[in-house]
Amino acid sequence: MYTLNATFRNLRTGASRVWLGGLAIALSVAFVVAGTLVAEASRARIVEPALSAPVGTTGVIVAESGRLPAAAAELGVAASDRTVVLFGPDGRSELAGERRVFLADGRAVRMVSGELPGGADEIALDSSAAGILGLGAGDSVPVRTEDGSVVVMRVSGTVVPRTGTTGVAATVAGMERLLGPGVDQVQLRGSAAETADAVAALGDAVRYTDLRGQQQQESAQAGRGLGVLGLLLSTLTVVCAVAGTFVIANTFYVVAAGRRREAALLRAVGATKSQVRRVFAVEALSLGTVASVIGVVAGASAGTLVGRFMGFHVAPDARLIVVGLVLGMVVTLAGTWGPVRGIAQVAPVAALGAAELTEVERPSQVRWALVLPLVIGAALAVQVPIVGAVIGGVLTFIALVVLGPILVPRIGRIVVRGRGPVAKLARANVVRYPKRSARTSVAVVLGVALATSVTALVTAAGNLAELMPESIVTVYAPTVTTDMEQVLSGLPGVDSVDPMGPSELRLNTSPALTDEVATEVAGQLPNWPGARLGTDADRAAEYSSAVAWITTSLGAVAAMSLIVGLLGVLNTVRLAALERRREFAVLRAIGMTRGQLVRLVVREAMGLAGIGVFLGLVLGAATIYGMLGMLSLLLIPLISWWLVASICVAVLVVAAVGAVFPARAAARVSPAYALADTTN
Amino acid sequence: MTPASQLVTTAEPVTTDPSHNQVAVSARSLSKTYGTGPTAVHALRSVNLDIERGRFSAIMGPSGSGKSTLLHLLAGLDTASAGSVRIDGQELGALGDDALTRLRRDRVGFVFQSFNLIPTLTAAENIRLPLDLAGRQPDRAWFDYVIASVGIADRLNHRPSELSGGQRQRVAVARALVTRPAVAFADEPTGNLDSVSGAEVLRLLRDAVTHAGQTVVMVTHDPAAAAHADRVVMLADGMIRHDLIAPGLDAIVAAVASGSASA
Repeated sequence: MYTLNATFRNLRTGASRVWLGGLAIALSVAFVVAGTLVAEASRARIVEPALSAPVGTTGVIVAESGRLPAAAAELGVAASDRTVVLFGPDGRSELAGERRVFLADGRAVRMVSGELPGGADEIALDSSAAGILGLGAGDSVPVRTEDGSVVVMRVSGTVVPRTGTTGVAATVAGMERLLGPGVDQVQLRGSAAETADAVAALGDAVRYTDLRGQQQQESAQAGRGLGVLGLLLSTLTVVCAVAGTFVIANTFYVVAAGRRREAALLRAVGATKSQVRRVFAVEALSLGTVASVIGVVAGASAGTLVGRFMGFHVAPDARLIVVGLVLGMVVTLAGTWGPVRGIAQVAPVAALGAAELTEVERPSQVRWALVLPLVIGAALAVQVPIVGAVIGGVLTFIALVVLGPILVPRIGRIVVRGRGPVAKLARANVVRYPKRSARTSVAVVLGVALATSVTALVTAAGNLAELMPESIVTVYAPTVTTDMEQVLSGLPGVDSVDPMGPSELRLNTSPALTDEVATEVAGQLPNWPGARLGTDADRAAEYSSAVAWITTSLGAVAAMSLIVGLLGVLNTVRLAALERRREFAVLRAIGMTRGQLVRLVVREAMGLAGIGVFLGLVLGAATIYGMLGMLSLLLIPLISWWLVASICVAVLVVAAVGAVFPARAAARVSPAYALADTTN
Repeated sequence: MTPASQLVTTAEPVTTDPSHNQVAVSARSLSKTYGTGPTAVHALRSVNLDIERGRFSAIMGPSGSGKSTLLHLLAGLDTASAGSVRIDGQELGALGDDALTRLRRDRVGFVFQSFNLIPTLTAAENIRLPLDLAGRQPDRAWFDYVIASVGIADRLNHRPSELSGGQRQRVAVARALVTRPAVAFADEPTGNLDSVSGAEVLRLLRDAVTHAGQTVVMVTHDPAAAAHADRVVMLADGMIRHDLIAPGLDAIVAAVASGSASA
């Protein structure tokens, strides 16, 4: 009973100390949940084009120019890439937004309620639009057509498109009314022979795309996209988990240090070690549970909002909720395991100890020995491409975490400059608890390292195209055919031909022969209407769009880590200020002004952030080197120092500004408090 | 009852001239009230007191007598509800927080019961801290004298955690004296020390007064410690009950007994 009561009492009294730690857990969970939701929405964006034709469609015909005659629609299912805008009953709201128009045909849409449109003035809405606009069969809906005019259509019922999630359905006549005469494309289904006949019947004015081949290629591409997406999501999860773990660990280490006497008192009056442990464990778990739930709710809400903003229907499912909760609890357990175990080790006699200003911590130098195998492991790992770089990065990170407490005093003396008494005290305080400072800096280290790598990647991406020798020839055509592929791979000097998409072929050649191959290819191009040689601009555009997507995502992860990291810095500063109330009172009593005390706390926050920035730059440089090997030496002049410097400065400024609040609170301590003879 | 010749009651104002250079700290009609209305606690009730320069004064009194409150007010650590305090002729009530802080830094020294050295600084850095905060250079001769007198010359580069309790308190005494303050306040300076170390610290304070002309005000509940003082002021219920000049241990014990009997 006592255990339970004590726990709940502590939770209430201790909440003001641990809430920032809880916030770090909640934020980490929220980022993972929201990130996963948004990533899945963007995956939908990647996958959807590959599936934009209903299952069973073998090919698509489109007009070379203008539109297909209405007659062509009889060959298959008419479809359109163009959109119309639905208006609400008040004629103004555009809540339902843009909709693609599908042919009212069972092969294109599935009926939900009512009937399929029967005439040119009828339309079937997707369930989502019908719900948003509050319309059902028999109602009228104003629709802004392709040419900008508004026509009123009668709602015949609701449908769900067989591809995508939204879209309206109309007859061929209805489509012409909404989108203009003719149709954009006709989706064919049937055997290859039937398809070939149908296309031949339409003559030269049409272009045929073999959708089966295209789908295979696109899903292969989408698969590659998913691979990258999975990697990014894992990175996000790991970074969030690590950042959150270290912040919550620090919170509990500091709180546990402050409650040593309380724990000793419990031990002195007869509590066993496991009972003491339970008091703190229950407290940690309660905080973890509350923070995880808040994190899941916040993350799901934010992810849904962002996803909707991007135009996709996002709904968090049970799996994601469970993942978020489990992540939060794992982070809590991992972070509080050490301090909770440590607090129970306190000797009962400590309850009787005299109140004294908290001591200085000295980490063991044995850590150097632990680091050696990690560094060797990392050095070996990076020899293996990609996977090795990841393993190497993780090992280097672990080495830094292990080495942190020993490095902190050295780095602290570098990053906290200045000669005055305030600078001197700040320097001493930053390195006073090396383990705590090291733990505090971890999330900032991760953030800065990621940000540095990302900026290097961005710069590299911009310059790599120029650096790379011209060893690849690319051919673009409206539609790539097997005939083209065969002809091109038969050319002298061409090692192989890779189809890169429905309209791109990549020819691999030896660098020396690139120019000759390009000339030969140019000679073949007149055989294929619309085909052209890829230019540097094409490659750069393709390259940078892929890199931009990855760097944006990694940049977001870096930003997340920096946010959690700064939260951790402010948390540590705040807890330290509470813990050192008496010391601050002494300083005030012997002549430190409030202004000097505020500056002291602010400089400590900047010092902690500075340690993170310093180590982050080291890890970032190591990561770049690991990823790009010797190439990174070439890239050094290309790294955007301005961007890196701006990020570092921003981190320090935020730390300083954020620390003003705990600093001002700390400076309010009465100097008379120095004379009190208890530690609270 | 204590002999009347050794008693000065609070009813009559202290006669020393406050503007006279011989007064380091003076209090006039000093009151401190916590709370308001029927629950108000009158920690100090219109206290008049002059602390002479170059003297070792002790303030005694049981818990709740107001001696801590008096110390806070005399040292400029807290503000009075009514009345005034002058340190070195400077009226404290007129000062803002920064000016008050500067006054503490330059003209007041503190020795605390629990030493209160800054753990991250070495002994020498702790001693110099008040000067550093003021951006002042130490007076070399005085600095050397203080270091030599407290006998920690060989421990100057040690941190507090590497010093014994007695050594820490000697460092704290040096810190209190380094600015050559108008007055040094010592709050139960022997409270956390064994008797040998405690006696050593009392001797240091006594020497600072006798040999260096410093002014020391010590708050204590230990009659043996108070016996080192030139003057012992005893408080009870927020008022000065006894004001003894150079009393022996017996007179102090007798006064303490009378105070607790009347309480």
